[in-house]
Amino acid sequence: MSSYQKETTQLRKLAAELLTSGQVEQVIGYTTADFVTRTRPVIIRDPQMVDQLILNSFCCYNLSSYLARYPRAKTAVVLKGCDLKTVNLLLLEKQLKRENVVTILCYDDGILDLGACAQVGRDRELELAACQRDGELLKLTFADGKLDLAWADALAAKCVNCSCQANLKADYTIGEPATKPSDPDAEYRFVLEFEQMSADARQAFWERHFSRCVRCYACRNVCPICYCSKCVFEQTAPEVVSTFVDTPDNMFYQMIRVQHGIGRCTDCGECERACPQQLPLRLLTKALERQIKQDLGYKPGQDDSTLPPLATFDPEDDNGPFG
Amino acid sequence: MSESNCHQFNPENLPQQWQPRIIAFLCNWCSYSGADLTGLSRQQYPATVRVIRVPCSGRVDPQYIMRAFMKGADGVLVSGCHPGDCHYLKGNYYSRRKMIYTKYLMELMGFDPRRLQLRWISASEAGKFADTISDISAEITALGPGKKYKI
Repeated sequence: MSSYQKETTQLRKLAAELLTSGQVEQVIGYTTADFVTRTRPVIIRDPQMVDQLILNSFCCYNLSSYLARYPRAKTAVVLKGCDLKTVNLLLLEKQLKRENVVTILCYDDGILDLGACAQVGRDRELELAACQRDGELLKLTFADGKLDLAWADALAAKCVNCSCQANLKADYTIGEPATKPSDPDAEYRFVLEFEQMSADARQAFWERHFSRCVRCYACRNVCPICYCSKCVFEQTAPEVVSTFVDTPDNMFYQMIRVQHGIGRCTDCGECERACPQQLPLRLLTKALERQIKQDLGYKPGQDDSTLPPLATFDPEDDNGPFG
Repeated sequence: MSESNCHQFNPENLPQQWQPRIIAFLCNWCSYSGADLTGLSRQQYPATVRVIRVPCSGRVDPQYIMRAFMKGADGVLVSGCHPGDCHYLKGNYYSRRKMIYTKYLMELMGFDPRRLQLRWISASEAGKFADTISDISAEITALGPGKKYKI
């Protein structure tokens, strides 16, 4: 993979400084897990332990959700560009206190999802022994041989056409931004293709997918902006959506969950990554994001002071599709 | 996986002169009073609408609209005070934005977005309420039952 050795060293040094100076009580970051293609979150409180922190192309988690568990502790958090947008939103919605949060933005070349890659797959990715980036190639080593992939093929879907490389402010920055795609709307291309489908085709598409949904609620549980202490989906009196696992119920559950994130979802992609059935959940959230950007010129998470569009209004709004 | 229990619309199974079921969320101060005035002035309109009185159109959470469709509504109308005249000053401004994106979300999922309507009807607009219900009923009758997702 792209070697983040220099960045990892910088991060460890920064974390040690922040902890020893007492500027923060804890640093939330990534550390190694049992497989090459996995990392896991770690909370470091002792400056002697900062060598556990790593940065690599498998740092997929959005650590802002851990941040919200410690509202009163001064915490530094390692963030990718997409995750920093979530922190901006959480600050805006007063789920975090600005004085207790130290953001460390670590620019990256993209997160790899070898499990989604046809040449590797979910089982084989766990057998990976090593990987190394060589220009536009990704060189994989398994116990029984080697494999070369195009770097672009191995990227997670959300990292293709990444738009999180610029205009983000953090307390500390590590690394340099990668080049942005020249077309600012490139990130919405997959949404536009979906919108070309007819209404019946779209309905059939979602029926096909939501017949596979098992209502594990992973999408809701992993989402950092789903922070209600009393979730509406757990209410039985009154019941909003039945817990019966059937296609129509699954569709309505997802519609309501997505609707709660309109104008708030920063497209960290965790819902889609966490889904055990690999449902295309980002299609919905990204389509809404694009519509809001088109109508109101607002993109969630760009700063921590502009209110999300559904939390505010403009008396001069027009009636949109209602004429 | 279990078979989807999404019903298919077969026009032969419809009773004669099928009438849609429209759930109307009417704000107490303007639209509900307007609807009341329609009744008081003996104006006729199709008996398709079931009214749910809410204090303000801003109270209408999109999840209630989706639940209405889940439970078999063929159409949903949300109606409030005219923008600028909200009894609570700003509720209808919020509801306008919410409804626009709820409609868009429905469209993304393949639902017919014409089944959700938003109107501004004041307390004196009895005729407008009658006309609105007539128009919406006609439109939804043409679309047919929304039975596909009745749970």
